[in-house]
Amino acid sequence: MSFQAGSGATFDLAATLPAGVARGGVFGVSSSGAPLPTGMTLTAAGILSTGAATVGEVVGVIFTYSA
Amino acid sequence: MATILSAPTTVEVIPAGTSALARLAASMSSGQWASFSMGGMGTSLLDAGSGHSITEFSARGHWDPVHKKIQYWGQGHNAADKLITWDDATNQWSVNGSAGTGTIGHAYYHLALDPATGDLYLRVYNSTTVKKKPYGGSWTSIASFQNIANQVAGALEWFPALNNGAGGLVFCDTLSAQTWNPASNSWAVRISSLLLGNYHNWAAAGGASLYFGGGVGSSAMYRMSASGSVTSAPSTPIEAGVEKGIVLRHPDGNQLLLFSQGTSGTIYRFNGSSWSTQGTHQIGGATDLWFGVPVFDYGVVLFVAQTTSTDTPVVKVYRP
Repeated sequence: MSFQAGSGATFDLAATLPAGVARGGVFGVSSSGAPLPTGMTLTAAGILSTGAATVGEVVGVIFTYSA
Repeated sequence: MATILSAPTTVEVIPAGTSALARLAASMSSGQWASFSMGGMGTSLLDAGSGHSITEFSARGHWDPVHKKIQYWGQGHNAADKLITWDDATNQWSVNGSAGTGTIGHAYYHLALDPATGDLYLRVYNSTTVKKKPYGGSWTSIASFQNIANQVAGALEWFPALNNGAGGLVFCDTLSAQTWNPASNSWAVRISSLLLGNYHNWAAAGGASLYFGGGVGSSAMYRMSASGSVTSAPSTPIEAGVEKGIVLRHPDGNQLLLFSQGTSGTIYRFNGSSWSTQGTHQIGGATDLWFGVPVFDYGVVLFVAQTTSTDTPVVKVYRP
């Protein structure tokens, strides 16, 4: 997934949940994968925000969802 | 409490002023397919209520080159309709409400876009009514076309070369092709002796021509010139229309592409004189549950696909 630096763009991870998965759970980033780019944030509700992240690329981020 | 994990994902922060789709398209070679993550894309965006999706019986959305947005309108079976809009700069989908078309109908080839203004036009299911939504404005109605065959699902398309280059609409169905002049808000019947499939017809501009045809049981294709005259053109290699194969304008603006329905299938290309095969597509959506959007600025076609009306959609990008 790509975000423009400084755009304030967000991405709702909840929209990517498979059908049949109960909504209302908690999103996170697994420590078994790479961390988010510095400056980027993820809320418990699943909103990924560009924030103050600078140009760059992180490979291998694993998102978690617990419900 | 159960925890599910995503596949390892690449998260990229790209320079300001560079869109995610432009960046992906620039990295692709001819014939390549790629997955693409779009903000806001998901089951809730496409949900039409009652277990239905606005991707049902869909064909294509439109790229607005003025505002760099994708516009798509659809309706679930006996369910809600919805206009959705994607913004290239933010890579984000949003909902733009109902067109007020009633409870019956689907997307078909009924949405058209004027690429010079971003204005939208929508033929209302089983009627002679065409609605207009000026960019940023509200839905109103333009003059009705003539009720010649009045099939439930025909094809509405914007033809830029029409009306001395000012552009205008073309509507076709089983028997007729009609054109609309925005300057006079009037329709003209160009031909009324066609024998296309009874419904699910298609239309797509290509170069200085407008091509249309198909529908249930038909591979017929016709060419309309800028003056509105209609002549026969080479038949599509398969039955074309909503249920069998989706015809789109090639992102080069001149040719046509035909994608056979189903999760996978053959791609055909029309170069203005003949059809040829172009390999196999990877759209990944079930029959009648995906739509394509030629994005002319970036030379790619973007597809949104579902395998059921309630499953998580996938987005694929194809560079012909």
